[in-house]
Amino acid sequence: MSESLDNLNKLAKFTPTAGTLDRDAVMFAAGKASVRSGKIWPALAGLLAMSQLATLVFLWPNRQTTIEPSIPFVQQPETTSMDEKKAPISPVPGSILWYRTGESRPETLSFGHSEIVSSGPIMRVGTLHLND
Amino acid sequence: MKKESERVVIPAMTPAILGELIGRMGPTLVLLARQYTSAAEDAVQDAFVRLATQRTMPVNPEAWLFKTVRNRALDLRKAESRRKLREANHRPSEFFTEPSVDGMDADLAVNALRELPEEEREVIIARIWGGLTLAEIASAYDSSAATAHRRFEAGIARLRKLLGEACPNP
Repeated sequence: MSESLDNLNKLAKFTPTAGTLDRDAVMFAAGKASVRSGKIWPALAGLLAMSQLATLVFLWPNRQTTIEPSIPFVQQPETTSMDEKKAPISPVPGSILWYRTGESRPETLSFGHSEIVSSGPIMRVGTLHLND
Repeated sequence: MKKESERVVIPAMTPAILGELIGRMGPTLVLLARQYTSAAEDAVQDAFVRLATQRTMPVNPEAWLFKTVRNRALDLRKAESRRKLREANHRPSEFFTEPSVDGMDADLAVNALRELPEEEREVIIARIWGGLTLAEIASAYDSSAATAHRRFEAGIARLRKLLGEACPNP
């Protein structure tokens, strides 16, 4: 009985060989295989690129639809005397000057044969009593 | 279908753990695979690569490796010719690093293992050189602990007889 046990102990003392198993090669193969090739991000990037391209195509500037600002006005002949009243600029009806109401309000606006004296903004301050 | 015990979420395989497993279990797994195929190293490498690609690390990596190597070695055996397998098994000295231990020749040890039935040989290798418990062996081979114990006892008895006959008491 003890002899058989000795034989089993001897058998257990043998060390199995690894043969041609290369630890570094196994580690390399395992590391290479463990890389997950995700397809979600490349697909999203491709979709984004396609959308950018589509946006570029649809928004490409078209010359026919471009609005070019034009301010036609008629230039009055130049005057030589400084004492002479400057001839007012007569804007063409329908032009931008004709519709100007705001920024630098001219004192007089000439429309053909009539003159319209523009009045300033209506200001109500109160009653002014000068003789009290 | 994986067992429930293999689905416990634990940290994934790290290079350090994998390297340690290769160094500790690699030779024993090669010894196991040699029982089935001449491409034993390929079967073992495939098993380690599969382990590295698992999303969740097995609860018992050693038992998992034994099972995977065995299955992979059996697959490779199907693709091998009998002549090739016979030629590979004619080199028993490649099974162990020592040519002899305490007077017992390596060829004797290898031949004794070859005489065992396949199921008993698997249990003996996993128990003696793999260090697995009988419960772990049972889970690795999808058998009961009682079956693993029975196979182990039968294998030990057979080995005692074979080695005793080969190494009689002077």
